[in-house]
Amino acid sequence: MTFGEFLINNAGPFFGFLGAALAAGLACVGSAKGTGIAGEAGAGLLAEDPSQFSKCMILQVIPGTQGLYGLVIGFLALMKMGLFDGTVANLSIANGLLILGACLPMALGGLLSGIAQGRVAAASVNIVAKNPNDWSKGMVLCIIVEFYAILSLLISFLMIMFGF
Amino acid sequence: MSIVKMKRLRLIGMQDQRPAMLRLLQHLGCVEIDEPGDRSGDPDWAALTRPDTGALNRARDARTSVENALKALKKYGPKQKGGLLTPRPVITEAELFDDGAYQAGLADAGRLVELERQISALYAEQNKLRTQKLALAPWLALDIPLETASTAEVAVHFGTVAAAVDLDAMEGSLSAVTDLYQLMRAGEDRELKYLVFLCHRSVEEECQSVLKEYGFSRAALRGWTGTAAENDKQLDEQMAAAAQKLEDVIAQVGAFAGKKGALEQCLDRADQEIAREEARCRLLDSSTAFFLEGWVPAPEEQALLEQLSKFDCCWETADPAPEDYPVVPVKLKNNRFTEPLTTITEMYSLPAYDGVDPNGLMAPFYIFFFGFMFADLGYGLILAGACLFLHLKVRPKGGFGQLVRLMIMCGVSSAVIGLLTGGFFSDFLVQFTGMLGLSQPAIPFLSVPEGSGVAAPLLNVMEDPMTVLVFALAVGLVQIVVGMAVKFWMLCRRGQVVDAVLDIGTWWVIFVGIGLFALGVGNVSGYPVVLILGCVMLLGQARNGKGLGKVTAVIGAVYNGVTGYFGDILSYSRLMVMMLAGSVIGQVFNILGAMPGGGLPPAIGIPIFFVIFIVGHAFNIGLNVIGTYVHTSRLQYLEFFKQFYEEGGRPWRPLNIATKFVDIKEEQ
Repeated sequence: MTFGEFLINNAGPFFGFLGAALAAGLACVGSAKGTGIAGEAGAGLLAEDPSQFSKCMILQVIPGTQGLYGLVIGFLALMKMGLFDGTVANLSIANGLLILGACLPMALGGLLSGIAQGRVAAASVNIVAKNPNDWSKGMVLCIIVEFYAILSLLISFLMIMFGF
Repeated sequence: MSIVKMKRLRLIGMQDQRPAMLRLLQHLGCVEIDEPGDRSGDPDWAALTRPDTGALNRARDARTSVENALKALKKYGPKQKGGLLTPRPVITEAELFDDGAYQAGLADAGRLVELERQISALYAEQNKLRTQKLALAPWLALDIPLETASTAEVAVHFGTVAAAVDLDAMEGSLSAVTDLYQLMRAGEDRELKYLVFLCHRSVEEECQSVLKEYGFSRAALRGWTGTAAENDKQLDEQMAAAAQKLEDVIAQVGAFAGKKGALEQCLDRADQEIAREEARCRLLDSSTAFFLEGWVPAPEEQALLEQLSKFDCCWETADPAPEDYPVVPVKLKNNRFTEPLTTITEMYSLPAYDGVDPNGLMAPFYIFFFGFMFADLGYGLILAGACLFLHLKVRPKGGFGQLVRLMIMCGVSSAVIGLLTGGFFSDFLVQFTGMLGLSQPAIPFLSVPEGSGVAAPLLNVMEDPMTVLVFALAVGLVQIVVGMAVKFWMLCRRGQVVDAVLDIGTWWVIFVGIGLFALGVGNVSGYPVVLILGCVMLLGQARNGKGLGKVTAVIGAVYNGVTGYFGDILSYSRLMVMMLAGSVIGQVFNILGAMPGGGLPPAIGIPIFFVIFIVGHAFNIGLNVIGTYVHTSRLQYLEFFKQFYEEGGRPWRPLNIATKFVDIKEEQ
């Protein structure tokens, strides 16, 4: 079987899997970068003041949620495609493409918001360093970015659940 | 539910009664003593002086000492059990202000600080000994005393060469010059070789030049007597003694472990002394009398004046003039229901003295919005239960205490709304029974199998997000209209009725007009008259402009109104978004948990399910509590406060008894 034949025979599942892969993969990349940036900043502070560990850790995990959202959308996409009840092979090309489209907001939103949120979290580590009592304000600033990941999750969710 | 009216208090009293009077004010806790107004130009006031700050400095020193003592106890004392969940002791005011206990506490603190100083000195001593021991290490093999000096006939040099130097070659070079020398090899390390060189005075110069060639440099061993090994043994003994002493001193610190509570109480007492001394330093003194200026809440004025009549003093109280409003401190009058909202208000900014207290207006919306976004019976009960436990057990104070009490109400609201919208750990009941192969139970709202006839959830965000979205926007419209009504009332209170009608009434007419137009009612001969009336009223925005300014004022009002009000209302879509996000993530964890258990016997499947269930939902609760708190607050700050709020108040900070480690028993 050539690659062309494979694609013709499996185009529906192929596009669907591509969507789920992008949603989960790119969102996880965003989270990995975000938590990475925040973690670096946190480690810098902890070298000076180890007692701020819990605050730094909370700031670091905040950009980790995009990966989870990506996983949720990827999972819902697989469920909708019928992977778990064994009907995935019957997925039409049109529906596969619909799944692919539906996964894109989560993929892009998760990737970019995770990185942006990581930068806010890294900057908020400065608040922990200088005014540990005001660190919750840094957390609030991080959560503002979170909202756009949630919006991406929402629109992807609506498209997957009600798309076809 | 409102901002407490403040009165300016001016008081002149006698200095010999001052300590008693300040203690009384601290006990009453109803006067904020502030800096006296600037009267530098007034010759009558020129003779008054500021009290000396000696007592304040002494109080601050005492506090520092106690603080350091507690730090030393924490660092060197035994690990103390308890922590965050230990409730604070409750003592009477007399116990807090018991001078005997205070002095005993300060004495203990002094001893602890002294012990800590000893510990530091002993650590320094150990370091010094260790350095000396290291310096001696290379000479240990040498059996001549380190103070061995040159004589008239023989020159003696202790010294080193680089480790790379070949000593045999060096000796060869020396032998070529003379036989009257001796090179003793003491030892070597990674960098240097340690040597003692002896030679007869007659050949000293020749030998020196050979030594120089090989880079021989003299070692400073002044101050040592006896051989290196003897010295090393002495150092070991000294180190053992220092270590023993250190152990003793740390044990002495440990003996103070039982006094931690007393020291903390002492710290609280020192804070009260500092507060009172700081207040005293804001007074003005003559030789026998003093002048006090401050703020007292109008409702407490009578009680205060009754107490003051026991002293030889005169006073006056006055309502602040409107131009003084920016400096009048703000105290919010709250009941038990609205008081926890103060933490939300304070995080933004207190209202101006002539503004509106937002707590009561915000409370129902805040609690409802939180419940709507967090909506889940299980999550709500967990949140409310955890916060109730904290509240009863730890009795947290201040902003955190208010937050905990607020979260109890928000948790209950989440549980109720969660029940009505069919959320119990998302769809736990459906997934769990499905995993076990049981039929879905019929529970009103929470689990409604098809055709069972039990009540369906009032709103179901998973199945019908559109209705929830419309509902969220409608709730948002209600809050915005309430905010506008408050502004309307504020403008009317200041006599700006025309502004109120044209700036705010116009938009209400437009909102109603849009509503009627959408419903297709109230049209007169095909025209939506109410909407048209509203649009005509928009022209009223031109009233303050001149010339072309009238046109731009109207255009600006239309633009700001459309983008502002409609943007604000759309922002309430987050109510539905957060509700949905919480449910979806919870559901995914339920499915993930049920998936491996589906094909396994229940004895294995159920534990697996609950492991994933507990980890996943704990994560989801944590994430959602923070997110919901932020977004609920944001809706108040940006959408609600924008309509009417005038911020910028300065918090009222009375001279009172504010403790951190102990609670004061209320006296009847």
